[in-house]
Amino acid sequence: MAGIVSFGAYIPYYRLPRGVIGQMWGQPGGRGEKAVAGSDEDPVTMSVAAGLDCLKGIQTKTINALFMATTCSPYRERQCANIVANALDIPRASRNADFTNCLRAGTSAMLCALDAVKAGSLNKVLVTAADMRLGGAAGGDEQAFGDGSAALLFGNEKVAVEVEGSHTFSDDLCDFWRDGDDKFIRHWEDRFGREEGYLKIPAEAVEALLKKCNTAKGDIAKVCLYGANARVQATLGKKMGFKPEQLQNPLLDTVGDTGAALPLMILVAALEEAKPGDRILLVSYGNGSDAIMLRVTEEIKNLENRRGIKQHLNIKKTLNSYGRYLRWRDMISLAPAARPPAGAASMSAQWREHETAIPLYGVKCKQCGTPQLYLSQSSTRAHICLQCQARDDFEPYRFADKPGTVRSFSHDFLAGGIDPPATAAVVDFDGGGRGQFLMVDREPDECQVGMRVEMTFRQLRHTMGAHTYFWKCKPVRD
Amino acid sequence: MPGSIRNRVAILGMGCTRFGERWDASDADLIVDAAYQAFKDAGIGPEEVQAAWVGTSTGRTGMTISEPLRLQYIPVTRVENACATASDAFRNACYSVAAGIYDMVLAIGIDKFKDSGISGLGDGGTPGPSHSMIAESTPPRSFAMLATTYFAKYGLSYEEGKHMIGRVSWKSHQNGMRNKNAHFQGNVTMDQIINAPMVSWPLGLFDCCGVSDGCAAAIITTPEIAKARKKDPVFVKALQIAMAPRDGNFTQNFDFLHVEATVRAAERAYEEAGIKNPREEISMAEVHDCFSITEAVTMEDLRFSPRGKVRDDIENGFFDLDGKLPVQLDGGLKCFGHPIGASGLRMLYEMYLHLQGRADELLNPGFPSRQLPNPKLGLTHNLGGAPDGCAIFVGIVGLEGA
Amino acid sequence: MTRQFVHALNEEYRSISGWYQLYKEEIVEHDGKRILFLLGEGAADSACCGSGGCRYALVPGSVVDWKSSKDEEGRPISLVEPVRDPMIKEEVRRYIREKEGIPQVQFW
Repeated sequence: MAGIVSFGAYIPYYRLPRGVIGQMWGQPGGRGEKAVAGSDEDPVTMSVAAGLDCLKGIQTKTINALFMATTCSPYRERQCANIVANALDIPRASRNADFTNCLRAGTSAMLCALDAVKAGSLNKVLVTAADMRLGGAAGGDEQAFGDGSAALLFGNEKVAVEVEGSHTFSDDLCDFWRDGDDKFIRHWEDRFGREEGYLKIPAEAVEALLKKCNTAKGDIAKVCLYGANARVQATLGKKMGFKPEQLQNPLLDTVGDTGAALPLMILVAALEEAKPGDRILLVSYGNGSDAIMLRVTEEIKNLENRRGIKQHLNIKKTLNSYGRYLRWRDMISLAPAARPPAGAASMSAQWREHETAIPLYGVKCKQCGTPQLYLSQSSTRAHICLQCQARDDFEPYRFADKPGTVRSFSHDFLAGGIDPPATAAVVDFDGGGRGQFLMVDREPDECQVGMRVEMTFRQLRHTMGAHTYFWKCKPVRD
Repeated sequence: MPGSIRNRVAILGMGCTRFGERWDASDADLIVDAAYQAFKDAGIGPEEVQAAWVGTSTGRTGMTISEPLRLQYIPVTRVENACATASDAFRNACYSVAAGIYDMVLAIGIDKFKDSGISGLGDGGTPGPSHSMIAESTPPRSFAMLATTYFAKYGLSYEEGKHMIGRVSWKSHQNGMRNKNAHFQGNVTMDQIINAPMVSWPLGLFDCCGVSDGCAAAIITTPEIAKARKKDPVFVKALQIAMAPRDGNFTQNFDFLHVEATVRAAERAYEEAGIKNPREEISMAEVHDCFSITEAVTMEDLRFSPRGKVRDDIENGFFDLDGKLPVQLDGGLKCFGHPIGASGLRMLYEMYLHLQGRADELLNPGFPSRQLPNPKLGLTHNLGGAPDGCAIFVGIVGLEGA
Repeated sequence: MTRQFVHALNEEYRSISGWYQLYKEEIVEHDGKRILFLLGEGAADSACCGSGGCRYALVPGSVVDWKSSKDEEGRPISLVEPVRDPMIKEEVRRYIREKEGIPQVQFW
């Protein structure tokens, strides 16, 4: 039976306490904190992060589609799923697609992946969902929205979570929207969306699904129910006839409303606690509702070695500065930099080098066995071995999945950038090879020669409307 | 080694402008000033120059100098090799004389940064994949890595390491304040150096050089012509460039404690000049002190100090003006200044002045003499790039018998 | 080992690459010791490495003898004991970061 073969998630390192926002605007702060993506993170990088968590120990060359869901694509026109697939080393013969424009994009992508796998047209499909919706300063959305991502791998073998059925209602009930020029979401009167939308449509989808699957509410171990507001989410759960202990925690106090990614993130959190035989009901909402019935198998026991939601919740640093948040989100006009402008990214060069730079491939010399990266300003392709000078006698060697040790570092207070100092580190990879990378999600004081780091895919620069992505390093935190 | 430059060419004349933020001068003004100083010192007119090499990181073609000097259709080659630019222009000019093609040539280095409206140098960004974070790296970041590993390897506490590199800068300020053509002539104390803010940890404001405007020039000729026209010409003993494969950031063999290209260039230069023990035989040196830690590590790479022991020499004043082997006699990049394309010839100019006994021509009034007693051999060194990969020049000049 | 600290507020120091000055002196009490720190501002406005300004804090150490002598120009001199204990450094760093919002804290 087709279903979920592996899962993973990602929550950014920084958390902004809602009290810090409230303090800034003289308003009550709201409960808990929200996860805040770094200034160099976006749905593409967060999809890669969740993908890496999901694909631990899985041969990525066997995957033949990547569906990326987000409502905050960094591009209006350019397929982001391709960038994510490229970074995750998924081959070119892959049916990639972006699912967007709707909070149901994550569950829509799941259902499409499931159907393709079930039909046998695709063997393994990776679904990623990531979001980082922006709320206007001092508004309710600013408090509510958080950033995060999840990834689910669908396939036919070693299925850990079977899909027993689904039901969808598509409904053009427009309670919030953004047009092409809107930076922030617009709302119709809240009570309309709540009374006619959120509190009705998911319940209808769930009733139809339970009937279809012939399942009783009491047989469901956990209900993963999307909600933008914890109180209203609890109200809906109760209205649908579920006990409070059946409702999986919706992560709103710890991460925030991560939009299209939230249903999948709640599901990952539920799967981390699930036992074989558990039935899990997943319910999304947004211009309709998807309800999906899942059943956990024995294979779940093999999926413990990942950070998922549980570990990522604990890998965090409190961001006590609202000003830094505004700066990261480009919400404030900054003084112009007195530095020479950065050079433009070359689309032709990026395309030419896509097999090396984006998945972070170096080479291993067939003559002397030395693993090595080649990263120059104009090329990422090695021709001559740096150790034995043999020409073009290499096999590909991936560095993105190798941890390493810091050999040297410095904190650059002059580099400009959005969040100084810029920390650069020379990383000696386990198994050989070295590279110099920027270090992120680090406290300057914790940096030392010998510290352990791992690779993370991030934005490097943004020039001429184009985002340049590359790998940076970050401290290993488990 | 197939051939040696030793004693095959001589320097007939040199000139060097005041370095600094020359808001008052254009590149043409600086070129004419330095070139005509050199013509006058050599006792020649511009019409005697048969060919020229111009080093510049910001200029354009050979016309950078043929236009302001109105050179009359002679060959001019523009050279660019980062901070080794001027030295490489000089090297090529010397080879043309040694080859017997010319017997009177000009080498000149010029850079004029202070009309760009921005501080610092750009990231040199030719369009590329821009995936490489090295392309985005800044000089202090790259060189701070040397300090981080040096401190860690030799067990120096932050305070000990910081004092060591601060002492390097302090010495250069002591020298620079005596020189009336230096960009920065102020006096600074060790406390002022240590108390300064960080630029790239652990390098602070006083560990970093600046950028300057300036120009330096040399007239090169055959030993026969030099001896006929001048009583004490300066002879070229060695000219070496070593270009790194830029592998330091990619191989675990590179230790971030030394600069391999400096070691290679220096050893070849010592062989070319017949030098066995540079610590004893070299009288003085001007080296690339873009950052204080660069100078410290270079002292070991040039075998002036044993590996891991430079701290003792620095703290004991071995490289001070009155020490056993004075380094940065004119203040170095740190105080005399750093117009990239001119720096190599500026260093050579300082060696030339001391070898001719003329160093006090640039003495600031009220200071004790800065002239070294009886120097025989002077060494100059440039590093263009970063520790993990760079262009290195090491040159040695001296009196005829040295 | 104690060291002399010369009190010289609002004197601008220039290097070839920029300038800085210390503009404020404060004492933080820690475990019975009075630790002197100063706030400074500076900029690398003429460095090859680019330009940028910063505020930072300098911590000479705990006061052993307060303004007990004077230098040639009449500036007061105190004797201080530099902070070496990493735990105390971390606490002083946190104090300055929270009170003054300055992340760059340097110890003698």
